[in-house]
Amino acid sequence: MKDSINILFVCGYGVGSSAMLEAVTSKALKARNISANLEHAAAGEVGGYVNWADIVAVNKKLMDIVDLDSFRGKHVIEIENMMDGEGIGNKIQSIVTEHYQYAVKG
Amino acid sequence: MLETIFNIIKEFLTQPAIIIGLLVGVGYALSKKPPVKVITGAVSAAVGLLLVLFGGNQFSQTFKPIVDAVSKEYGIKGYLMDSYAMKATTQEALGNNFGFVGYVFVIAFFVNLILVFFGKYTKAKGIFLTGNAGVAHSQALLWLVSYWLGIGWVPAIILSGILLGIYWAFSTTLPINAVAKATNNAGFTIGHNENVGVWFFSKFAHWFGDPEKEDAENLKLPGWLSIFNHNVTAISIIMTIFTGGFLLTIGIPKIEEMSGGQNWLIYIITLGLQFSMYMVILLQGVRMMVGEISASFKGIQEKLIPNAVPAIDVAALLPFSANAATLGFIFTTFGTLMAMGLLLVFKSPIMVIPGFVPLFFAGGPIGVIANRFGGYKSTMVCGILLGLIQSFGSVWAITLMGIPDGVGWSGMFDFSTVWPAATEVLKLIAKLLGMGPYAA
Repeated sequence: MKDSINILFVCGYGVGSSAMLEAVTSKALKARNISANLEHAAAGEVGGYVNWADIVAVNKKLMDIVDLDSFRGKHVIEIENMMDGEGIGNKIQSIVTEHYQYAVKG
Repeated sequence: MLETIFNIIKEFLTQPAIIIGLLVGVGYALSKKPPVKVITGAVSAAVGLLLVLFGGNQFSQTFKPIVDAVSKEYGIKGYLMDSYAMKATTQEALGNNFGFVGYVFVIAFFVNLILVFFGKYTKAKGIFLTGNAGVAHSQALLWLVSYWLGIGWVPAIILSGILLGIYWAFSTTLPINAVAKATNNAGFTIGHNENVGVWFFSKFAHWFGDPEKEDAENLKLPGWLSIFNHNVTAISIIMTIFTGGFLLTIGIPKIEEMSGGQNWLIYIITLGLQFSMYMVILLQGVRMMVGEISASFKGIQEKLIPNAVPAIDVAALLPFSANAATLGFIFTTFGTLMAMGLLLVFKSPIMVIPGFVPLFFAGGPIGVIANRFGGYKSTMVCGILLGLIQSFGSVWAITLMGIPDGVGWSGMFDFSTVWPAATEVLKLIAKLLGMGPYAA
């Protein structure tokens, strides 16, 4: 039985801003009692995560290239301010409450 | 017997992959992570470093025959401008001493923290949190200091750590206001390879246009440009065009001689694809090595200096105007091409060939800043200027890098301006005191 959600963070090279985004979001999710596995990747390498991810958070600049069709049925979040952990946390929370209730702890 | 054991331990502790693994493991242990995490984190970091070394080495091995062929023909030496070329060059120069880079990184981070902690007196506010760029900086500084001053490893590690920490503290503080304006006070600053560049262009971008009437976001750019957002494809294209174009100057028959009879076009396209593959290897290594450095450094910063400004990867600027970022990328490429033309006309013995990073990760963000202060026309002008500055500055930096056979240098703004200037100072000290290459 799945008891957590998988979130993928995407940026240009998958080493800098997506890693930071992951760190910032991780804190916000903890505060919301959401159990999640987080990964980060480059725009050119997202294909490898299609089956894994439930939610995909993408740098707004890259929205057009991350092949959103291949993420059909997944939830995609467009990120403008990547340091806005609260805002991103709220977006994820509303998706989780609606679709992935099992990932909410306690 | 005891001596043998001691020697084995010593050899073990000087292996680059093992030093980096241990440093990361110790970091996790200090932040009270469970033992399983300490072990998996340390091993991942060690394997990540081996991947980085392997990718960088392959990158150089592929590029060098091209440079040699052109150099043999005209005596012009080609160098790549890319952060990852600087990594490859300095990793080769440092050789077995590469592991010391980890210590430089740690010292620099704490010097940065101390300077911001005493911010009341130093005015420093930014804390550098970008692990991927930080490792490249540490390599470059350790190499430059040890080469020019010729001092032992311990003083070289300490001195380069201090210099880097000072750069991190102040270069991230300079652009705070410009970044705040471009991001509507998002609460971060830039900690990457063009921190000073962001500040520099924000000072005069308003000369070239009107940010309200000429906002790049109102432009409709052709859709195919989005291909350059896909790193794997973009690197293949850029490397095929620029490296292939550079190689084409020796003529098709000579290329087919090099390729062992393979068709020249297939040969240069394959080269471009190979460079992209090595980048994927390098990036995977970087991801495994620094994956959680950023997170743990953020944790330390929040604990010790909660009101500091986090300095993060420059890609954070790109979403604030995707169009300006694309325009910045295109016009920085134009500026770079102009600079290459000028180098050719003036018969420079050094030719620079752009990689993807200085075009996309310096051109893009500077484009966003220029658009915010002066609209899309300013983005175009600043992009061209950036391309010129980065190219000529890289020629300057390459003459100072102390390893003529290196594959190239960063090509990013700060490593084409601030750092070659600082290296000139190191060189002057060496000359006056008879150190390093000037030692009798």
